[in-house]
Amino acid sequence: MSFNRMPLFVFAMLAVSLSLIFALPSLTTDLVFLELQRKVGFHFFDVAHGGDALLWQHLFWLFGHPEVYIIILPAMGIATSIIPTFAKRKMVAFPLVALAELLVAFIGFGVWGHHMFATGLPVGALVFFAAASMMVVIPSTIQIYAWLFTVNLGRPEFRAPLLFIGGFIGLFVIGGLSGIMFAAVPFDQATTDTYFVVAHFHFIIFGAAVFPILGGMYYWFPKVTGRMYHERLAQASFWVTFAGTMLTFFPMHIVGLLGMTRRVYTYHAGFGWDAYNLAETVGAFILAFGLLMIFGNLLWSRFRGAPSGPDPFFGGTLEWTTSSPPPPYNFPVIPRVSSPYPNWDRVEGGLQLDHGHETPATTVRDGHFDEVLKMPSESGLPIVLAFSVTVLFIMLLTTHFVVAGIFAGIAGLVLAAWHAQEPAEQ
Amino acid sequence: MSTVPYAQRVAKPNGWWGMVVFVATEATLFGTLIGSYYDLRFRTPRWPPAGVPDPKVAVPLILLAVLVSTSIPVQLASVFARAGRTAATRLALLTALVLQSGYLALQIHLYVDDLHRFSPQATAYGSIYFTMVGAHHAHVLVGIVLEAWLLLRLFGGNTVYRAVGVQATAFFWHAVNVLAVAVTIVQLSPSL
Ligand code: HEM
Ligand SMILES: [Cu+2]
Repeated sequence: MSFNRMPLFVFAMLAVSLSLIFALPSLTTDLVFLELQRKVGFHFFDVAHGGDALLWQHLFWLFGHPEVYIIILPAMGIATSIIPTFAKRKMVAFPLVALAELLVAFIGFGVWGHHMFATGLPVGALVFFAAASMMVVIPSTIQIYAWLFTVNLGRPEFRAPLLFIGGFIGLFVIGGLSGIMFAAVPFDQATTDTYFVVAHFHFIIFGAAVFPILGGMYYWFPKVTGRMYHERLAQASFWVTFAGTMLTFFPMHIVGLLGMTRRVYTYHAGFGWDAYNLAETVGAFILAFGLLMIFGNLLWSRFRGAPSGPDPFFGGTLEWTTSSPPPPYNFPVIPRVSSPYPNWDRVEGGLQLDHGHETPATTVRDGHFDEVLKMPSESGLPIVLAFSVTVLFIMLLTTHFVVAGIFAGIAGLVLAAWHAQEPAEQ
Repeated sequence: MSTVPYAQRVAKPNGWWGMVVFVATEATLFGTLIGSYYDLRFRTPRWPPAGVPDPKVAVPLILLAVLVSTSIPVQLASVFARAGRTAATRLALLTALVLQSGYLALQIHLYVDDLHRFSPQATAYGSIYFTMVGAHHAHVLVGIVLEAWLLLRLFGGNTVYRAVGVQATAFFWHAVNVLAVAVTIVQLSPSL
C-alpha cells in the first residue's frame, strides 16, 4: 500500500510507532540509572556526589511527553475512521490531517521542559519550551477543524460511535485549552501540582484518549463478532458516560484554582473544596454506571445481538469488504486498493496466496508487489522467551543475581532455538 | 555450496528493516547517555573530580581505529553473502570476528584497570563513565555474538535467509562503530 492510499488511522499508528522508537530509550536510560543508584551504589541523581536531581526529570519527561501523544494518537486515528463513515464523506483536508498526525508526534519531542517549569530551569529554556508547547496547538487544531468540517459537510448520522467522537472532540478541546494555559510559564508556576493539572490530564486522557476507544468498541464490534450492539442503549450509555465524565473532572479545575494540591487523599473541611469534591464523587459513580452500560450492552449483544452482515455502516476502509467476523486469513484474494477508502471506490482482486502462511511484501514508497513472504507458524518459543525475560528482570530488581543469570541463560537458549528454525527455501 | 540468487526483491529485506529500527533505539539510547554525561559534567567545576585521574588517550584511540576498520570486512561479508560466495563470506566474517574479539578483550582489560584506579560508586563522574563505556562494550559483545552465530550457520551453507542475516548484522556493526567514535570522543573529552 503506497503512502497516498494509507488510511489516516494507519498514519496515526505510524506516528505512534516512530514516537515509541525514539521515546522509550530515554526511559530505559533513566530506569537503568535509578537501579544502578539504588542497588549498586552509583550516583546519578544525588547532589552530594556530583549528581543532578533534575537529570531524572529530564530523562523521564523526554520520554513522558512523547508518551502522552503515544496515548492520544491512536484515539485521533479512531476518530478519523469513525467520522467519515457516519458523515458519509471522505475526511476533509486528508493530506493536512496526515501531516498533522506526524507533526504532533514530532513536536512532542521538543516540549518536555513544560513539565519542569517550576524546577528552576534557565530562562532561555523556559522560553523555548513555552514556545514549543504553544506550537503543538497548530497541528491539533488542524485536526479538530478537519473533524468538525467533515461532519458539517457530510450527512451525519449520529449513531453511538459518532456520539462518542463528538464527546471526544468536546473533551479534547477543554483539555487542550488547559494544556495551552500551562504553556504560559507564570500560569503553570501558579497551578502546577494542583488539581488543575489533574483536571487537564483527565480530560485529555480519559476524555480524549478513552472516548474514541469506547466509540471504536461499538464501531468495530459488528466486525469482530458479526453481531450488532443495541443502538438505543448505546446512545444512552454515551450520554451517561459523558455526563459522568464532566461531573467528575470539571470541578477539578475549580478546586485546583482554589488551591487544592495533587496527590492528597484527605483534607481539612473549610477550604471551600467540599462541595466540589462531593460532586466529583457523585460523577465518578455515574461514570462507572455509564461504563457498565457499555460493557453490559456489548456482552449481551455478543450472544443475543442481531446478525450484522459484513458491512452494517457502509464504512470506507478495507475491513468492511470482508465478512464479519473475518476469516483467519482475512481476505481469500489479496485486495488491490486505489485509495484510502477502497470500499467506496474500487477493490480489485489481486494475488492469491494459498501455500500455508504467506503474505505479500511491497516496495517501500510505491507499494508495488515485491515478494511473497513466508510467515512463521505457531511456536511456543516466543512466550517462553517473554516469560524468562520477565523473570530475569524481576530477579534483577530483587537482587537475586544468580537466578537472574540462570534465566538470562534460558533466554539465550530460547533465542538460539528460535533462530535455528529457518524458513524453507527452494 | 550453492549460489544464492539473492532476493528478486527491489526493497531492502525485512530483516534489514528490523535492524534499522533496532539501531534507531540503540542510537537514541546512546544519545541519552551522552546527554546525561554532559548534564553532569557542566554542573561540576572539576571534571574529572579531585582524586580521579584524567582518561588516557592513546590506547583507546588506537583501539577505536582498529574497531572502525572492521567495518570493511563486515561490509565485504555482506556483499559476498548476497553474491552467493559462501567461502569468501566466512573468511570476511572470521577476519572481523578476530579483530573485534581482540578489541573487546583489550577494552575489558582497560575497563578493569580503570576500576582499580577509580570507582563508579564514589562520584557521578565514575558512575556515568563506567555506565556509558560499559554500554558500548555490551553492544560490541552483541555484535560478536551475532557474527559468531552467522558464521556457525554459514558452515551449513548459504541461503537467502542467512544472507539477509549477514546484511543486517553488517548494518549493526556500522552503527556500533559510529557510536564507538561518539562514545570514545566523549570518554576522552576531559583530556583532549
Ligand atoms: C494541547 C497540547 C498540550 C499542552 C500544551 C500540554 C501542556 C501540559 C503542561 C504544561 C503540563 C504540566 C502541568 C504541570 O505539571 O504544571 C501538562 C501535564 C500533563 N499533560 Fe498535557 N498538554 C497537552 C496535551 C496533552 C495530551 C494530549 C495528553 C495525554 C494524552 C496530556 C497529558 C498530560 C499529563 C498526563 C500531564 C500530567 C503529568 C504529571 O503527572 O505531572 N497533555 N500538560
Ligand atoms: Cu507534556
